Amino acid sequence: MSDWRFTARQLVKNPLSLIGLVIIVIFIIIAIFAPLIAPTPAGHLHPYMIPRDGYFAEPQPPSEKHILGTTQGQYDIFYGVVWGTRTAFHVALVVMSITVLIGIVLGSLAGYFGGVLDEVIMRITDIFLAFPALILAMAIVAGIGPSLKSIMIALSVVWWPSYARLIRGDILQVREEDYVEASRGLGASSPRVIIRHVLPNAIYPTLIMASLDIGMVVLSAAGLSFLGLGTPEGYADWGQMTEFARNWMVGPPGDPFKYWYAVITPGLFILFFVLGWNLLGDAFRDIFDPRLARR
Amino acid sequence: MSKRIPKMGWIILAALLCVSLAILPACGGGGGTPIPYKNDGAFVQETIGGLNSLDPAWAYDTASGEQIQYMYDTLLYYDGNHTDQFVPMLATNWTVVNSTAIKFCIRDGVHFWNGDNVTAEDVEYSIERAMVQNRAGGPTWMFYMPLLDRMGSRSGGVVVINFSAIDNAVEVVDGNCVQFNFVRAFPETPFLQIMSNTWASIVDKDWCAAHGDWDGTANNGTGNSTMWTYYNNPPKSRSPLYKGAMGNGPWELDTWDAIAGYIRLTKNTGYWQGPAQFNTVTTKFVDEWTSRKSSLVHGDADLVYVPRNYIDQLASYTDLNAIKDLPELTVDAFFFNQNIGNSSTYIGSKALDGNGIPTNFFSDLNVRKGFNYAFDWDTYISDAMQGEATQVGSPVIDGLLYYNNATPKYSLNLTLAKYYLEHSGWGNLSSIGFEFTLCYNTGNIPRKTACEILAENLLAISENFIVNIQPITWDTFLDKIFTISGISDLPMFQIGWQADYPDPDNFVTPFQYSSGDFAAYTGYSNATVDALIDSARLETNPITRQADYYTLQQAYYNEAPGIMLVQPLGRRFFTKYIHGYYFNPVTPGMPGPLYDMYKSNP
Amino acid sequence: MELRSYIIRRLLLLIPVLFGVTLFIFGITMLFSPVQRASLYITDPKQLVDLPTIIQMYGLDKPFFVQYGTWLGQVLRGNLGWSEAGSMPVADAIWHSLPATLELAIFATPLIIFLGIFLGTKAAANKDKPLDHGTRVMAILGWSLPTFWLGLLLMMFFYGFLNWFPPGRLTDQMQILVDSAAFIRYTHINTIDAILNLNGPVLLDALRHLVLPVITLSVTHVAFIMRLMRSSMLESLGKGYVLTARAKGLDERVVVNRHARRNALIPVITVSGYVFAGLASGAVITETIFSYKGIGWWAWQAAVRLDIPSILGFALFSGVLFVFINLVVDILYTRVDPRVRLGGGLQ
Repeated sequence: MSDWRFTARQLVKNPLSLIGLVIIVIFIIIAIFAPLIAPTPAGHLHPYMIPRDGYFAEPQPPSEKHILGTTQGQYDIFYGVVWGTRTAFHVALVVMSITVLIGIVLGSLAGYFGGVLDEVIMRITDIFLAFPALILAMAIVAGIGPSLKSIMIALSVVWWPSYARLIRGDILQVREEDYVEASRGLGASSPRVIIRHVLPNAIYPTLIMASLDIGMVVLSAAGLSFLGLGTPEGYADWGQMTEFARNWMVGPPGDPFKYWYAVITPGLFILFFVLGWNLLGDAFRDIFDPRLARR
Repeated sequence: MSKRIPKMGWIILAALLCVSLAILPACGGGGGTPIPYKNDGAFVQETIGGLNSLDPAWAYDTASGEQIQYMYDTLLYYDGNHTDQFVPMLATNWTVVNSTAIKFCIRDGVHFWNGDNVTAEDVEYSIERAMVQNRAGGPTWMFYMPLLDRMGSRSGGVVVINFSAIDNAVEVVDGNCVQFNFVRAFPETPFLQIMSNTWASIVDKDWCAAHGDWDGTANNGTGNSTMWTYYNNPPKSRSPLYKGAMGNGPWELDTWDAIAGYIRLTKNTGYWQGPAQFNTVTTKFVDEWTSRKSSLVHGDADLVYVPRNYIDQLASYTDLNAIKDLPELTVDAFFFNQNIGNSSTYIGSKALDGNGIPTNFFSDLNVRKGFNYAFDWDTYISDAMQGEATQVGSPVIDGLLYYNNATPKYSLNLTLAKYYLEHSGWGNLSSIGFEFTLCYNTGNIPRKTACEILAENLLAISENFIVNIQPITWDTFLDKIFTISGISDLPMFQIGWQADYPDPDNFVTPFQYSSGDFAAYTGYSNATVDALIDSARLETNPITRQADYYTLQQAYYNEAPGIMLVQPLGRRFFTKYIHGYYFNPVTPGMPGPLYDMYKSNP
Repeated sequence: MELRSYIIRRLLLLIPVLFGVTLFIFGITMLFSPVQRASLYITDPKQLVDLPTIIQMYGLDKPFFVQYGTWLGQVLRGNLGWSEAGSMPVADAIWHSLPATLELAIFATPLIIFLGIFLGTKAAANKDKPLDHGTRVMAILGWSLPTFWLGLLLMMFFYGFLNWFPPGRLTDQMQILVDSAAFIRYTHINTIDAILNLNGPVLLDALRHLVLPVITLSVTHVAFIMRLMRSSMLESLGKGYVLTARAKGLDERVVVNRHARRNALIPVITVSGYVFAGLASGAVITETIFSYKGIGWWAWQAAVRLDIPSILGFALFSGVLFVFINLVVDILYTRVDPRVRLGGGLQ
């Protein structure tokens, strides 16, 4: 337990990780209070579909009615980025949970039991890893049909192998430790040993990776949106909103940055979200890396 | 010390950035930024997509058709911007020998790029080759339909016609003429239109045969009299023409790089009408709009494809020649499915209990009329089409022969809509209610808007009218529309149709004929209409033909098998240095009559 | 373990990997109905009538193993099938699209590695000081930027506004020159070919077109190397021999550069292999934005259109690349780190 307190203190001491923490907390607040910050207009059935103010193509600058302006097709940017926070967390957490879960199960089996099981599982991860992630994700999304669900499925399929590998590696290390030997010597069953002793100690690198990857998941989902394989048009999703801005990057002559609000805003949200998790993850790594001397 | 400098470095960099950001807007120049004159004698255009094949008999997409047209001539072509008047090209004249034969006499002194003469044998070979190849998904049905009264050479995947049928349909007569023989009477103008299009390009028989293509005979030089079927529905690479060319047109093929995404043609100095004014014609496939736009305003491209939404971005460039209001020969429409598949997941409870619709919901005329009166064309045109489209009332659109602009059209009238829906064959729908799912092709915003307009208006009539909207990818769309049972699962769908040739039959058949392209997915069938379509297609008397098509246009309004949407008005964005453009809706591609065009400053 | 037998053993791994990858990809594509898989050929409503013919022609409704077996039989006879996405045979499409991607990879990888090493070293040597924080933030910023966002911003500024660096691989005039008989194509990598042809203008033009895509690729990958270098340096700086060197009174810079860095480079060098492999299998987004179409762009087209022969061909290519790079990295590791032996295990 004092370990956690030590961790927390380290986090706060380091200015970068503090910034990361603050950023993430801000995003969490935005996500939780989205209906209050950007209320869904009356009669609008689906809160995750951004309300449109007409069908006109050109993005409109910030005004009283639209605090951050509108995208092409008149989708409100403020509403989009606020509810997009929820989408981002949704995608990131679901993908990470599935990925880490599969990774833990398969990685543990491979690492702890070794032998044939290990070989088989490792070959399977090899096969997944041999194929470029983005193309595989694209094929899956293209086939199922672009939607939030298919993105999450595709990203989970692509991501789990690295975690299985990682956990397996850590378990291999931890497996040889004395306390594990001891507990086995005392007659503890394998699942018990794994869950009680091996996993808790092997989990740290996984947590580091996971926290770094949360940002990556959102970036990848945005990339898929850019390639036309994202959420349906009008869905509150940062990736999609940057996609809306894609064709308005250069304004008319004499005013090249005319549509800055449509271009910059969603990009900044993605940037800061990923930045926050990366700073946090970096800090975790500094704290948990056993090779670095603790002060 | 060494730590401070980098820090100073960052500060200086940041300062520079801020200063330049402040100066930039001023540097952008006032309105009307000039476009420099570059690449004299070269035409460069940037568009999206790519090429399918350079083989005239194979290609059915406009991108390929455009390049083919630059490289090959046909026997005749449309006169200027007309769609029913022609000028001689490789043929010097044509005569209607009788109601089942038309004869073209071939011009002397025209050469292919390698010096071979263009002869009547080449003409015979070109059309026969197209019919022999008859690839699945290709355009050659347009030879089979008039000449052999069939849709193709195969049935059940097997060739069922004899070579003699193809051989007799196209014959060299009188030494330098070619006669086309129809198995039954066929009207002249539609046939001439078919022969003007790129699939009727004249290729070099000797060159093709020497490069591994069909040699023009039934046995193709072997002892097997059905050897010609080896070239029927072949793999793409079997013909040298898919990526090579031996043409007779104003430009020759220089390079086609399908991966890098460009095709370059160079001037044919021996062209029979005299050399073209553009030395090179380069088409680049650039999917990124920002990139294309930058190319246009920097003068690196003379013409680019501008998606409708971004038209206004070019408004302040005075050096651009923006041509608008070009009535393209395409139409977009909703289709009602009167016989929906039983396993459809798009019709809710499949019963009229307020949570679904029965599979034959749209078989009731009043329902279809009610939906038509619930659509708002004005909003659709102004919002989805930026005001650049005209409403159409029937499949026969402006630019086709026998277009009747007096045909009645539906318009937004919620009172009438409500009336028809409450007096439908199913009873008072306002109180019963219905629910189903409307799909639109993913990424197609105008189609999405059309769905939204329909859904909102129906909801305004009664809150029991629930229409869910869902995007659907092309492959899933195919899957849902083309099920094993042959009956479509989609209650309604949208299709865009582009003219193959500007004859009304080309539009009426898919939209109203019970054996037409989409009939299987709509369950619409009216024996009287069918009979009229059949007779009108073959009617050789123009007056009778016009009356028939006028009747058919009225029939569409009366029967409302779908909701006709709009005919889009196209645009072209040339730099001001390109001269000579005129619009003909049948010419594939954006630049149009490139041979008649030139580039000069001013 | 002897090097040659080790290499052979590892190359034999190709067979199960290629089998596995293609079977896996094929399995995914079989989740789609025959009609969906026919959508590659039926792209326009006008072609709907020929759907049944297409399905029959390509055997799209045959059972899984029949279709896979047919494909496998073709491949073993040297025919990878036809790529609709590339309008040429699959093998040709891979061969033709590789040079563009390789050109990007050849320029981006050294930039990423050297910049990463440099920043990582600086950060480690100044741990927890402002320089450390500063470089880390800059690197992480690069990592956190959506690639397409950065790419489009760069293009907007440097092409749209300044007209310095256009998209594409070459300007039209240069392309005409390169396509003509006067210019001999050795590798289809424009910069290398330009050097081999002793053609300065083409070289400059090719370099000019490389600037933006390479920067876009590098900025997003530098953080990864930088982080690795930093932690590796920190570990190495904490080692005994460093203390000794410092105790001997050696200049700090020498300690860092000569002693600590050499050992810290080990993991970085090995990771370079993966960076190169990642870039060589195509950076889809960068290639799309800058019209620098290579194998990434082709693979994307194949994926989106459900061009199964192309997807399978690409699977073969990436499987081969994967095994090969893993092999190279492992051998490199043994060369660079004397404690590691071929075949695994530390001494």
